[in-house]
Amino acid sequence: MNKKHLPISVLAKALFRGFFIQAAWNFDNFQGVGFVYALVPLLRQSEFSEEEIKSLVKRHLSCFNTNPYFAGMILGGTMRMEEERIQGRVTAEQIETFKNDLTGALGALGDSFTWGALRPLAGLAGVLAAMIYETSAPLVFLAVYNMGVFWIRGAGFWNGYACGPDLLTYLSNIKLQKKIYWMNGMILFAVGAFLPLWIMQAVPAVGFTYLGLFLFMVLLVWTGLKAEQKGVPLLVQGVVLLILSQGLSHMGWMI
Amino acid sequence: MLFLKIFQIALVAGLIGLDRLAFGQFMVSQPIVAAPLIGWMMGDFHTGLLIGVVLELFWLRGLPIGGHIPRDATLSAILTAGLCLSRPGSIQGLDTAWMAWVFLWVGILLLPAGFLDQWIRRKNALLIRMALSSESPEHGVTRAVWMGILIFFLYYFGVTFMVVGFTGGLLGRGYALLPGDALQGLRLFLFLLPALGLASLLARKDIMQGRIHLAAGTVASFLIFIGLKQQSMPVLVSLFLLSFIMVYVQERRVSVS
Repeated sequence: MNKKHLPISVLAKALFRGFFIQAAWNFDNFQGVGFVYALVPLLRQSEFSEEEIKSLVKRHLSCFNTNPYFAGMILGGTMRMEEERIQGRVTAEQIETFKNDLTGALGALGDSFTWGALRPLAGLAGVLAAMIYETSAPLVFLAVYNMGVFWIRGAGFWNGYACGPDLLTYLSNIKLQKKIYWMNGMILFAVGAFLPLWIMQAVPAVGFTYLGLFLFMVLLVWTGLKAEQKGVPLLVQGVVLLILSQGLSHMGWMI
Repeated sequence: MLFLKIFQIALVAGLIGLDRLAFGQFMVSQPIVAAPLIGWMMGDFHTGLLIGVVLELFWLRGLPIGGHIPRDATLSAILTAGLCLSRPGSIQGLDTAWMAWVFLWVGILLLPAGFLDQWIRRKNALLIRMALSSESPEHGVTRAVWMGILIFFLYYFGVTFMVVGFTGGLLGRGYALLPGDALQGLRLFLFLLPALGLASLLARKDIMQGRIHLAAGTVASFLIFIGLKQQSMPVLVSLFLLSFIMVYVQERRVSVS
């Protein structure tokens, strides 16, 4: 490799290919194939020998499983370290250790951030938007969700490449845990706001008071929460709700 | 005509499925986007959105953590919206009992679809061999990735085409046999369904640290309603302030402790 740093165009191609990280997802190496696919621009740019390319591909086809949005950070870091390996400053074992250390950590952190906080928050924002102006709901959901993950993808990849093995320092600086805490607060606020709004939409067709229906819904959520804590699967809860609904309709409840 | 529509829906379902499984994860595949999109294609955005909202809330917690694959909310939304709206004469003003009936049927179908999904992912291990067996590893990996995309596309396309195209009639005949009380029960079921999704979300220990936010949201929502009913701006403003004060007090308590 004759250049110290990769050109922007190569990094941009790798970033785009990172969108395919789950394309060949399997139970043997999870996102391993997608990860190597994202490394292809590096292989094309560099002056690796045929043998080196084969060994690099084989090395990176090992098990790789992390949050797809945070995978870009590891991808950027790995590209940087592969460059440094050619210059003799890093060994292949160190790259392997770097990847292994970060996949677990970023997997846990990324899942809490995207699946645990951002997606429910965006979903609830979309639902609340649907109650105000219905056509805006899908757009609100996509905007809230993608604003968060585009930042993670873009800045994560770039900082991964810039920091290389020092990626953990960058991670501790962006204070993701605090962001997750705030998003969880907003999720709870949205859940609290949703229930009365949902009931108010239905009440005109029911011989019920708002308060009565609200209390019944709260009781239902509480029962569902206890069932969830006891490990009752969601589909079983659904069947019980179906039986309950049929019973209530026989008693004259109408929606 | 309907056949062509179903074919189009299956094609779009294949692309939406890629967002969930293979490319991008922009979350176009979430029910709140996928179902209205199918609804819009079938000429009834409103019904699609209603299905999307209920399913989004029901599947609020599905977390694909590690190697775990949650139930397929995307397929659930696409099939429910597709089946609901492919019923001849169903455009506009669709009965929510029919939606609930379709949702139950799709819920049953999600079990075999889940097995098929797992089977595909197990077989995808062959793609690693494909990547390694090529003369040029670079081309081998590229081919493996595109093969993976094609497989996932065909999975969504095939399941959607088969289910929407061939089970709608049977479902309609079963629905016609239901007594009036059962239809009322189904309407009630669909209305109450979001409660289960919210409960599964609230069961998470990390989320339930700030219960005051939940109360603040409820108070705000009630007061907004009263304010809107009475068209009283002071009520609206005071309620916003009240909810923010509740959250602020909670945050102070957390930061002090």
